Amino acid sequence: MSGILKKIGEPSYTLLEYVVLITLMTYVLTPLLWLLETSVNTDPVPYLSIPKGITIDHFIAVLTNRPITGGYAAHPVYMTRWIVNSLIISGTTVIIVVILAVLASYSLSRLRFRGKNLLMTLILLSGFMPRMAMILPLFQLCRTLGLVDNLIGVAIVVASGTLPTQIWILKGFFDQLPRDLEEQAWICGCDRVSAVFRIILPNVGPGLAVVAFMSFLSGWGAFTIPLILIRREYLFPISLGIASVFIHNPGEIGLVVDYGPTCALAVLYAIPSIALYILLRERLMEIRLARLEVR
Amino acid sequence: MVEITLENLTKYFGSVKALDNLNLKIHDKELMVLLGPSGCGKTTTLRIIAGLEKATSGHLYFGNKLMDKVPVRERNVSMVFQSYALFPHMKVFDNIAFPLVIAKYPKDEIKKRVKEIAEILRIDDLLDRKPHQLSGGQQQRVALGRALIRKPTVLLLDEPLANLDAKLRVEMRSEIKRLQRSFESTAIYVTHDQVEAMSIADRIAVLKDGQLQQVGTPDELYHHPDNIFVAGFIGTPSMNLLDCSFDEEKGVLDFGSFTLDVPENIKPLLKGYSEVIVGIRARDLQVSKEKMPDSIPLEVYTIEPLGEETIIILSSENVRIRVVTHVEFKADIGEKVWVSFDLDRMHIFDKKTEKAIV
Ligand SMILES: Nc1ncnc2c1ncn2[C@@H]1O[C@H](COP(=O)(O)OP(=O)(O)O)[C@@H](O)[C@H]1O
Ligand SMILES: [Mg+2]
Repeated sequence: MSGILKKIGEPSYTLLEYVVLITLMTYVLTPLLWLLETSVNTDPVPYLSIPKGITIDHFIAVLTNRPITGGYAAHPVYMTRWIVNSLIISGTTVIIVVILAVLASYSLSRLRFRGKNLLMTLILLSGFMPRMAMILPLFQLCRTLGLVDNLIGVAIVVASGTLPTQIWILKGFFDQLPRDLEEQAWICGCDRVSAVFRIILPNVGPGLAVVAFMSFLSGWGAFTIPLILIRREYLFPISLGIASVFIHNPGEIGLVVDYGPTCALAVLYAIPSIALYILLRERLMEIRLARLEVR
Repeated sequence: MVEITLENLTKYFGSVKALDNLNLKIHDKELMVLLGPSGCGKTTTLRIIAGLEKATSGHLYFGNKLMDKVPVRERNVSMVFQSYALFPHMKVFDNIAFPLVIAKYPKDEIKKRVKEIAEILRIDDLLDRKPHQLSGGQQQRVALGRALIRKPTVLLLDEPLANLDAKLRVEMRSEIKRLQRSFESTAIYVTHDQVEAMSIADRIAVLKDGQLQQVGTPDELYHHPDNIFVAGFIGTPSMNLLDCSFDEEKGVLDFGSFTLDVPENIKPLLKGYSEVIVGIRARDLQVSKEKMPDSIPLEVYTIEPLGEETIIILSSENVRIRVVTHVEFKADIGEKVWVSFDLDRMHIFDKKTEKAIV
């Protein structure tokens, strides 16, 4: 009895915390719930509703490019292709960024050369520069090189935008790795390159993972660059695709947008980020623990 | 398995002179200890021999072969870093096997050799562990195993025992000596601990501020130090070094509060010197409660019993003298006692050049 009275008498901070937490979660999670609900609703409507029935037909439609018959909404015919396009852009971005960031950050971390500090400042500055500020020269460059309407072209431009930041991040990981390890590898008979592959890279795994993760996301989420560089609808990445669903059908959007497949596509669009995050988080934790134990 | 020659090695880091015209020959199969206080250039010397650092000037030879431009990986030098530098992502087995893997030995051969060396080092039950699952002593053995597995011509050890506790240190140093003998590598062992150096070395090279002070067997360094630094650095407790002046007319050494007669055979050697430093080991002094011939009275300053022996620090106005006595000798602080010098075992150094005269 007295315990309850006491609780009422003293405002509990935990209660306050719960209120804040629940408000935040409602704010963040409602759209997500809405999206999920619509994507599995047998009768998708553009507002949050209790589904009459649950179906995965919309996902199948998206993944197999087969429209659900009987609806009166226009079904975008390239959804499957958009997913592939996004994967190509993101994958290529990852490859470009990881290779270049490893080369650049290793050199910046380990080699001594004239003008290194200036170079590092320039790299940092170019990372701060908004891509859109340079879009005109970039567009002209892409046109000259035949990279308009080209997924690899999008990846190259996106990679160039994220590369400076990634170089700095990876350089931090290289800097932390004791030079002893590398020198010991040389003593054991490695040349510089094999020491990098056998000793350094395996020990900056978390750094590589972070860089790969961030560059994947910058490719996956890219919108403005594909907007400018991609003209043909079948070359759209998912981001442009979803937008186009709305743009192509002006007016009473509720009547013409095919909400089921669109939401299913949006759910699929969100999955890689979440999955990668979960995957990476565990890896990061594991490696940090191991590191702590060594010394 | 090779003789190493350092010829006029000088190394600058920016304006810091880490090595100053170092000349040193390390004989085939010898265990040479580089001894000196922290920052005297020991690690730098090892790194130049390994090829991790380029000398500013001077040359390095293995046998007759000039090594200055030979890349690290082609030197067949093994080095145990002070940090051990075990590869954190590899199991113990892979760490030890690494040099052979790089040299592309067949798998069976690698397995056999790792097993052999792991047995010698008594780490054969740890092969599946990662370095962070090992104790300091075990990590040290793994590092040794990795260094020894390819039977290196040169074995470099940079303070290999510094991170271990005292008991393990004593154990490992005899082990290292035994291993070095059986692998017949030419070894250079770096330490700042003179006891460790004395116990393990075939010969010791004493360094200070990048300059070589003296090279010799532990015995030579102990009994015939070339200069004041070596005299003070080698031996426990460290040698008494007393300022005094030589009075040529009277033939005595004047310490201010007392004088000592100089033995006839030494007198001619001291001719021309006035300010000198006398060095005498604490064990070469006799202390007694009664006056003995040629003894001088001093006051007991402190007493440090060490079990078997007692170190007594004696003082007069301007001198402090350490004496080692048997534990049975009891005295009180402030008490007056008599000390006699074993003049035959006395060292005399020129105060200006700090070099040994006698
Ligand atoms: N990479 C370096 N850059 C600048 N100075 C250095 C470097 N390595 C060593 N030194 C300097 O050279 C001197 C000798 O160092 P070191 O060989 O490591 O001494 P020790 O191993 O005997 O303690 C020291 O004064 C040290 O500060
Ligand atoms: Mg050192």
